Amino acid sequence: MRRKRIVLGGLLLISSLIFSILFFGLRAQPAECQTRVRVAQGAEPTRLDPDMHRENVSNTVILHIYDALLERNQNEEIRLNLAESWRFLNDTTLEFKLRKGIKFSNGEPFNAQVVKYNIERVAGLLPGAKKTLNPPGWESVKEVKVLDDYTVQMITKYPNPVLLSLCAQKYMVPIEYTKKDNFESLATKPIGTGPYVLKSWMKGGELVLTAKKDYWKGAPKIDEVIFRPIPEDATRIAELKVGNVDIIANLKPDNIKEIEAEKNLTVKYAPSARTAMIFINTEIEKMKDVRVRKAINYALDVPSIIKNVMGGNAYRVSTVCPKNFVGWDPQEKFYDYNPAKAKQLLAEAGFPNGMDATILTPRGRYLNDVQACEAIAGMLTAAGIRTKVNAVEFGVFAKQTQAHQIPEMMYAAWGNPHFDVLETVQAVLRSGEMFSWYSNKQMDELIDAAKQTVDPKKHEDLLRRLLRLMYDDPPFGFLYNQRDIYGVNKRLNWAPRPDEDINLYGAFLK
Amino acid sequence: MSGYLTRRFLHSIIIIIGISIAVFVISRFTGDPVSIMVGPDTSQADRATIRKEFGLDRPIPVQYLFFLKGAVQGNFGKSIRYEEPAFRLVLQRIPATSRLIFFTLLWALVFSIPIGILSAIKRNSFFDVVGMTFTFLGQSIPSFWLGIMLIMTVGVYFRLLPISGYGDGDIAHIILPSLTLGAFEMASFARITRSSMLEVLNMDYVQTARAKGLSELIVVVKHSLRNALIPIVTILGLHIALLMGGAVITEQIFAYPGIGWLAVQSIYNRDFPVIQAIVMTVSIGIVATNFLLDIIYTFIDPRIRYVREK
Repeated sequence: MRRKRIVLGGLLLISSLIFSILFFGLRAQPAECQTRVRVAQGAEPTRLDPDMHRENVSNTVILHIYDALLERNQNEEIRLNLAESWRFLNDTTLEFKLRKGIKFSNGEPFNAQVVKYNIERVAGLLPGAKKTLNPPGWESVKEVKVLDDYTVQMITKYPNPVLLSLCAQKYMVPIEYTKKDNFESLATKPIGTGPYVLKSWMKGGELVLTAKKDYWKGAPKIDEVIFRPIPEDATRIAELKVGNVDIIANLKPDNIKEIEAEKNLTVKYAPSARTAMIFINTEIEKMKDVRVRKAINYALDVPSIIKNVMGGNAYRVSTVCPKNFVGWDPQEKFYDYNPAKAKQLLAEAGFPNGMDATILTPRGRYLNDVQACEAIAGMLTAAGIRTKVNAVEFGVFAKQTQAHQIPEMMYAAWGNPHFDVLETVQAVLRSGEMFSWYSNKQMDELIDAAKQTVDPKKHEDLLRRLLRLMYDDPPFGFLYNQRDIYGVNKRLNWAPRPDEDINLYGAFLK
Repeated sequence: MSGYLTRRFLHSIIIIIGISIAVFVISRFTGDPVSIMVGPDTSQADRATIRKEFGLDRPIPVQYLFFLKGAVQGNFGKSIRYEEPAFRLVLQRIPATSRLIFFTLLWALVFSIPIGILSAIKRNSFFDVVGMTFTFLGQSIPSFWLGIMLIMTVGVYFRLLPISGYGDGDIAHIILPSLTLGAFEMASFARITRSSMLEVLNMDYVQTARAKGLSELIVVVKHSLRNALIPIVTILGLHIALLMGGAVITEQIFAYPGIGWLAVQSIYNRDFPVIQAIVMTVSIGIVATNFLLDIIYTFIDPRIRYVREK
């Protein structure tokens, strides 16, 4: 009996000993480093070749490693960067003077030949180079001329008003390094002129950047930046709370209070470049009447949706142009919330007993998309447009929209990389475009004219005229642009940007 | 014995070929891979070029033979998302998932077998009731909930262990994911050990051993446990496949860079080559493990070897 007890006791002791050692003895001690910042994003970068991706997660890493000729500042205004100056010689010729003495992290010099090589690659003019994944617009470039080591000209086939914006996104890569293997190494071993260099990258794990002390704009104040992919919201928040990460992106409105309750954490906001709108399918007969489309706008209580559905995390727009976009009209007018007027307009349009309609939305693609559509459907139904919500997975949604098959209405939030409303209206308003269910000759002419006009004032005037026309003959139910939410450790001095990039050059620890 | 092993090996090869056909056919059922690879604005001419480049213009049986040839050489094509060889991406993730599964099984066996034995010996005692209640909970709690709870308590409240990631591969980063993944296994193994031990402890030869005056330790460990372990080895093989399924959720919760997380990302991104590489690699791993367990059987229970050879 005594022996039995000893055996049982021994078994328990061994089990608890193993458990204790593993549980308490091997706790990882985070190495202390005063100038190390960790950022958690929902996914990991795909490739670090700046021209072979189309997503923010990769861009956030890339912008620390490379520089572009121009850059956007915190307010998204275009500023000089690797270029010392720029000027349009005529509508189709843009000339850059370049900064001297800048080198890539492998020692290669930055000069006009590098610019020519880079622009030719993205314009599809470089023999043997694969097609890149840059935003549309580079195909307008016809030729790149090197005038001397530090002067270069881009000649376009037609005037391109977003050329400067494209130049602010086109990160420069070296010639010799990329020629060796036709850009293959760049995907995992990037070489740029930017403030950081890649130290290590474990796929699925940490990506570590170290500061370049001799960076031409001055050494970064943070020595090491670590990016970690953490797909689960709850895990990202937990890591922020325990201090293992300093910034988390894609915070949901429901989690704001939880973060604000922590004394060492804060929540930061930035207006997004994504504008939500109700696409109205005017290819369906009953939606052709402007009075029906106006009725939709009068039926919507947008401030209430922003407050109650979006938790205040959106900014109302009068049409489809947020305040920080080129084209925004300071004299903008908003539709009032007036269900009685909506009913009256419907009756005048021949629907005294209202009408039935469906609104298509993706499920979970945009912030609170289904909830917003439920609220919209309720408001429209109250005004006489009996609306059903058809919420589908994004794959199904994409397939239907690309096949140009939508019901009377569709909810989507449109992104815009150039902060110029021309990009939005070209895609969602111009007759014949894949995502346009509307046609208006006058508006098409204004879009085409704005597309051909590089003079900033004339370009903006054309867009403002377009937006005023759009207000009077609404192709959309006008809603809001979203607000991006970040959880941040208070020890870090950093501000979010409207382009969703997390830029830590210029940030510092308090 | 060699005849038995040869037969089992041939069975394994047939199973792997069957899996390769299933993977290939299912992937073709999901639609035209080219429409997934390229944007909606790609011209028909460009689509045809890509189709030719990937061999998708050939007849289906020919495509399958090319797929099989590539699979044998470890060539599943390039990942659409990462533009890297798909098999290389999978190989990079194997160590992390292998460690996770190893530690999951380690906890499961280290904790469940003693609990199962003690519960059987002390049947209907307080220990038995508590032990079986915990095993009931272990089998009932969903792993995504348990994972989040462990993060909130052990990671955030007590700050005892790292919450997510792989760190430098240190054991501290594996404890929470493996406990989450292992809760169900621990519970299953403990219950099976208990019932199996109860059955064996009542057998005549055990009573005889006791009557001969052998110590309880010898009776339990030498005479009873060895026979009681056979069902554990059986379910171990089955549970490795279950663990791979569980790893998909657990790795996602803990941002643990293993095959499960890669599978989720690849499915979201419709990264065909990677999905095919994962399914084939994991399937071969499971078939190989079951083959090894068949060999282990013959050592644990010579009757199996004898009967099968007969």
